[in-house]
Amino acid sequence: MKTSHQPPKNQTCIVACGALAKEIKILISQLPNADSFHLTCLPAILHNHPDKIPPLLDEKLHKISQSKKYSQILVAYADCGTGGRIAKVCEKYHVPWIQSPHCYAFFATHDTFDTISQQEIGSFYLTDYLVSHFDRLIIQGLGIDTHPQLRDTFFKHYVQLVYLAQNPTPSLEKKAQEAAKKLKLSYAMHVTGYGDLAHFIQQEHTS
Amino acid sequence: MSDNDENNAEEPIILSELNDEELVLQMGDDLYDGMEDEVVEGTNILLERNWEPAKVLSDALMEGMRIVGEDFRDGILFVPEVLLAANAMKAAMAVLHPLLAETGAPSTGKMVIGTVKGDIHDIGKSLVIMMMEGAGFDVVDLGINTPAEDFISAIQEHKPDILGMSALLTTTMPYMKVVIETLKEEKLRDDVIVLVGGAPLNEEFAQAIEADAYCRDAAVAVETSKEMISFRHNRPSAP
Repeated sequence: MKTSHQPPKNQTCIVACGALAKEIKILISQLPNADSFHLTCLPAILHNHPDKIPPLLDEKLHKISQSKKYSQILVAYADCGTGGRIAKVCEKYHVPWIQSPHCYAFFATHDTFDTISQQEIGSFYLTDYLVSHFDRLIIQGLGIDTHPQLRDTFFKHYVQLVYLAQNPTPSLEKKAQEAAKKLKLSYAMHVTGYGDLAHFIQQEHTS
Repeated sequence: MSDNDENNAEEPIILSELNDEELVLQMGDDLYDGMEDEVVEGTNILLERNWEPAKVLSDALMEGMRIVGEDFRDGILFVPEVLLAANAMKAAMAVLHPLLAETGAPSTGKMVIGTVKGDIHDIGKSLVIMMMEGAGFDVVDLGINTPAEDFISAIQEHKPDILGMSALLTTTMPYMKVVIETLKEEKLRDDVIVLVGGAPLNEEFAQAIEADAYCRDAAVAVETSKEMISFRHNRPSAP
């Protein structure tokens, strides 16, 4: 008798923030069973609208669960300023998520991020993705391009821009420094690598 | 220029040439569009026409902010647009505040608000202040990185109906509990309604720290404040 409704064995779907897609692809490529992973993302612009993430994630997880194509689903999101609502969606579908406040913390890892943020509470963080798309997500996304006075409204209490670098290149470093200048902030860089994102992908693929 | 172009060409609006009704409508539009200078000009014109400061606030500004608040809640306006409106409102309130104090105009209630110690984020707080002022509340802003003792001093000095606390970080939100515990120690907890807000918070957290309510956004903060003040005023006195 055929068991046509059984999901294929060892097929994993990762539902991720679009801002993590590049890093996750690299991490998947390093796994021995890379071919058994499928990556699907929600738009990275949701970074600016975290309240929209939980309902869209719920919708996506519902479709993926219904498809019965995967034996495992992972959610590559942290809390991301949703007040625990991403966790609730993941609990509903019994899928793991990255238990961290946000990508800055899981890239830097918890203790390092705490140290950086305690050294200067007025720190504004960028990752590789946010450096690459700084103008679109920050300058245009916050309306600073059309209303320059909003720069002060948004950033008046910040002191430094901290570039948390996953794969730093001279081009990204230059862009990050330019971003600091645009926001009139001092500049610091910490090379984080993939931090807890790597652990999440590696641990969950063996669980 | 075609007839169509001629019809579409907008004449510059001279605010002082509008009658009161037209001016109030225009101020609502200007507030919605975050046009700070125009909103201040409209406020001054109404005052020159002998409008009471409280009437300028209620009829011209509060109505405009109500629409901004509703469109923000419904996802039609986003944070940048609302911040521009907030800046315009703030500028108009700078004109009205001293006059309202002089005339002893009635207020909907009073709020003391601050971002808690260790946290410098104030965008959400700014939106709450703007919406609360737009709804007729007096708001005392303690700013950012506010220690418990500053909240206590402000409550003793200003005797607000509401204490608002804001935090954006998971590392700083537990400080709200410290403030509430200090309120209890100082026997002030029952004197104020405590509202908390910020991206990483939720209702469970508000309950756990014994706040009176969690406010998801600025519009909810206004609705919750009004409801809780009304409930307080209507509740029977203790025997």
